[in-house]
Amino acid sequence: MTLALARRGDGAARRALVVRYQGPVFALLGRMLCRVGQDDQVEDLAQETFLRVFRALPRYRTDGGAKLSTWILTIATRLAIDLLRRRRPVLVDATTVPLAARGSTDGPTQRRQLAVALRDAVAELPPPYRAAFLLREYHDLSYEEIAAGLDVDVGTVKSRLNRARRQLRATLSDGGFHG
Amino acid sequence: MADRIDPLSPEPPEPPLDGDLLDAWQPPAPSLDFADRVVAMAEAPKRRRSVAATRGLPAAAAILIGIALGLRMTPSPGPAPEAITATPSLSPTLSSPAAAPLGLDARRGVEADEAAVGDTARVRLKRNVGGPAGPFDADGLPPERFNGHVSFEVEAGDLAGESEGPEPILRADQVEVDEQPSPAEADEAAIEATY
Repeated sequence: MTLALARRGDGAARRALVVRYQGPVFALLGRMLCRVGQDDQVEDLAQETFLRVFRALPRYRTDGGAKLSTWILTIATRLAIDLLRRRRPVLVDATTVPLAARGSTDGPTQRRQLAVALRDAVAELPPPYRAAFLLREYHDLSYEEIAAGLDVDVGTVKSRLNRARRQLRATLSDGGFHG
Repeated sequence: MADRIDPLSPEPPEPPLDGDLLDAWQPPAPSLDFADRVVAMAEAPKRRRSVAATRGLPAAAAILIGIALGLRMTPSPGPAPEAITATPSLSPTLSSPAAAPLGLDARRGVEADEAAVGDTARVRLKRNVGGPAGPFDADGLPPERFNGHVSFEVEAGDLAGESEGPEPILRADQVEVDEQPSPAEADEAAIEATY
């Protein structure tokens, strides 16, 4: 019912839809864009994602098409990839990962270091690899859903995911972490 | 969930990363009023388009200004319809006389938010009157006067940098400009589309 109302432009239904899906969208975009100081960009892109969702809702198919969550995440992913392709690469600041106390995931400090290390490692991935990795590992999309969302073959998704995981393990291992 | 191994895959499968490692990276959270602001944005086309100008619409709008600058004047077709559905603002750089592209690339266009493929859109060039937010923020600012009318056929397409798939966009088809804007006016021009 909410979806039907949202399709007709009902404000309360649209709001409910945003509240329902804003968490996953922010999570995906925050990790796609990776770097500190990009909160504004994450919010801008999340906003653009939902505006596009509203516009495209009348064309969204509930009979056999993608799940609504998958469809929304796909729009967010494509926006993020477009943005990353247009943007100049950001140099990694090696000082964001302290050299001491690496390798353990115990305690808040270590977990924060781990998070920074993972974030920086993900930032090194090409955007399409990054997207495949995040959609699979954090949002539990199937290979087929990722393939449909990114408009590539399932084999390409598997290949990108494989390479992303391998590169992440290598980068984290170089930093003293183990994935 | 464990990933299944594809026996036909040429690469050895790489197992998923450790869940504890993944959990350490917490994502950003939306602000409390995010949903309200998005809904308000969706219901205010003018404001929405001025935000969207950051992702490429200025270039498309500048092309429309280029059309206006490059074509002969024709009599005005009369008052324009009321329903305004898109008002992208122009950036000062892209809309400056020197930067306005006089050579029209008819394959480019602007997004037609609420149009359907096959519609005919009339794009009006208008001049903003400025205000506290600056001359390129059209929110709440009445147009001082209109400079021209450009008719477009709405087709399925995809603008550069937009990858969510084909959607209705405006492409140059029939162009009539009733009043050629001066370079100074073009500096402050925006476009409005009606269907």
